[in-house]
Amino acid sequence: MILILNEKELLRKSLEEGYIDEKKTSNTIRILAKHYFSIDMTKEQVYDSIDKFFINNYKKYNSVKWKIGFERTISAVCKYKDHTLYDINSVEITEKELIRIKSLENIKYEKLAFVLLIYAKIYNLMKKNELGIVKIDQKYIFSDAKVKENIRNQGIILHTFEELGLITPSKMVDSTDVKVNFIDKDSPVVLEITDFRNYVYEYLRWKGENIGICEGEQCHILFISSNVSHKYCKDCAKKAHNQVKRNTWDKNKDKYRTARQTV
Amino acid sequence: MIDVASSFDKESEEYKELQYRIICGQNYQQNAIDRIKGCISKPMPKEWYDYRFAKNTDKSELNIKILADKKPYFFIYNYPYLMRRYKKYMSDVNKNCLIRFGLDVKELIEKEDRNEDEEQFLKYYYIKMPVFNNNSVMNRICWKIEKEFDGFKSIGTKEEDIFDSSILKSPTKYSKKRFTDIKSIYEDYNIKLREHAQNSSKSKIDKDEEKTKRIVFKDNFKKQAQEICNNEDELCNIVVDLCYKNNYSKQFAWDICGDVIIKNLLARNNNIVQYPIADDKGDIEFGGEKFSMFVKNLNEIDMEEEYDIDIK
Repeated sequence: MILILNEKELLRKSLEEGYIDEKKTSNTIRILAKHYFSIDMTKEQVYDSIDKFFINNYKKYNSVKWKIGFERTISAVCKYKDHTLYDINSVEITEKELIRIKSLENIKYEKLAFVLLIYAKIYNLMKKNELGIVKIDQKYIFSDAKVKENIRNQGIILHTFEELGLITPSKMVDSTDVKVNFIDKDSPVVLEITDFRNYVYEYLRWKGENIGICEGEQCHILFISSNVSHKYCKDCAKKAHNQVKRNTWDKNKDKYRTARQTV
Repeated sequence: MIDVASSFDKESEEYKELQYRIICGQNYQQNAIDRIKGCISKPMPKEWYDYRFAKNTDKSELNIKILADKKPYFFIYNYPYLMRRYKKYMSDVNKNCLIRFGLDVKELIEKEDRNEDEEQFLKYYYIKMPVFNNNSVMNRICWKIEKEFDGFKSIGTKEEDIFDSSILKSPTKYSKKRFTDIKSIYEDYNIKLREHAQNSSKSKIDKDEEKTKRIVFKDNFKKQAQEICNNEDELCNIVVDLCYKNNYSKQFAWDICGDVIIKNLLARNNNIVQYPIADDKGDIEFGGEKFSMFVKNLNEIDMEEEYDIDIK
């Protein structure tokens, strides 16, 4: 998930621990700017506060080089009147929505439709409306759905969705926004997504496929389980394997050392 | 304006008006330069290049038709920001077109029986494009060059994959620690270079200035690398492994230790070099001239040079 759903948590981390999103520093700048504007600071005060924050917490920071970037982000945030930070913890999916997705009878299409639905619901929560407009580049939609296609095929698949009435593309020629048409809030909630890592597997789990929950410490990510003994996700499996190796070494270290000395 | 004029007939009112504006434009340009000296000058009428002003004039229809509010297509190679904007626009338009019609823009333009929706799409595609792509002389030259170079970059990537970089190295061995130390300063160098590239892509920086900055970065790397490893053979092997076993720039390896690489290559060939020399009876033809291959043993040259020095 490319969107930041829990800005409040990130702000807390930044203010208390000096956390900076190194992959995309503009995320941290934007969240800080939102926070400072919400406490009635002026543009200049916001700039100074963010500048001070980066001087204290970021080694690679160069106040001269970053000046234009800072000013651009601050001006963009300033334009919006609403500076409340997003705090989205869950998204609810209803029965009718899932049945509509299942009726596509093509696993690739189903996964994509599910991801589009999640994004539309997140955008509704963010913008506080019911329009169901997804404003994200299609590459992220395909990446979240774990469907590998080139740009042309991605467009053709979305065109099929348009023909089926699932989405409506924007009339603006240079806009990639799409409106999701199959949101149905009236039927009962069947699924609640709280963890947005590999969330497409929630749909597969609902369909009855073999999806496991990682047993690694504080991980609990969903993964496609190949058999009953499959307990960990890829990363945790590596850690667990190394731990087993370390334990075996600790257990038998005397034996190994004496064997080495005799050689 | 010249670009806009190319889309009208030479006898048309629009063409004549644009020719008038081009001549006046030269005058306005000179006035703008003189303004710095303190002269009072009249600026170019805004309705010539600004839609909002063109819309509110008496001849609004004509003014909008011949409005020169964008740069011509070939300017994307002059301004990096324009190139970025154009590429982004084309990518977004293509995506939108694929979702709406199941075709990309190129296919839609070539399609013969277009419906109303498709016509509307193409109309706005041209209106919203960040550059004018009229059939002007410069644009046509630009497209011709683009056609010539189309697909040029992809040539040779497979050959690099097969290349055996060990021929560039000497038998000297190096420790893992030295390799990681050199790698860390190389990564620092890459970060600096990337930052510099980002800055220069945003603004139009002089090519000589860019070149000098790169040389400064390389010299700094050389200094730091020599502090870690003062054996040039060892350093060469590390740098070759760094650049050739990854997708890093090979030019870097040649810039840092090109002389050692040449020395290694010569050593593998018993210090013998082969090179072409212009020869009318030669069997190699290149650029309309004939060449023959000559072989020279560099060990002999060294001896001759030494002999010369002794005589002096």
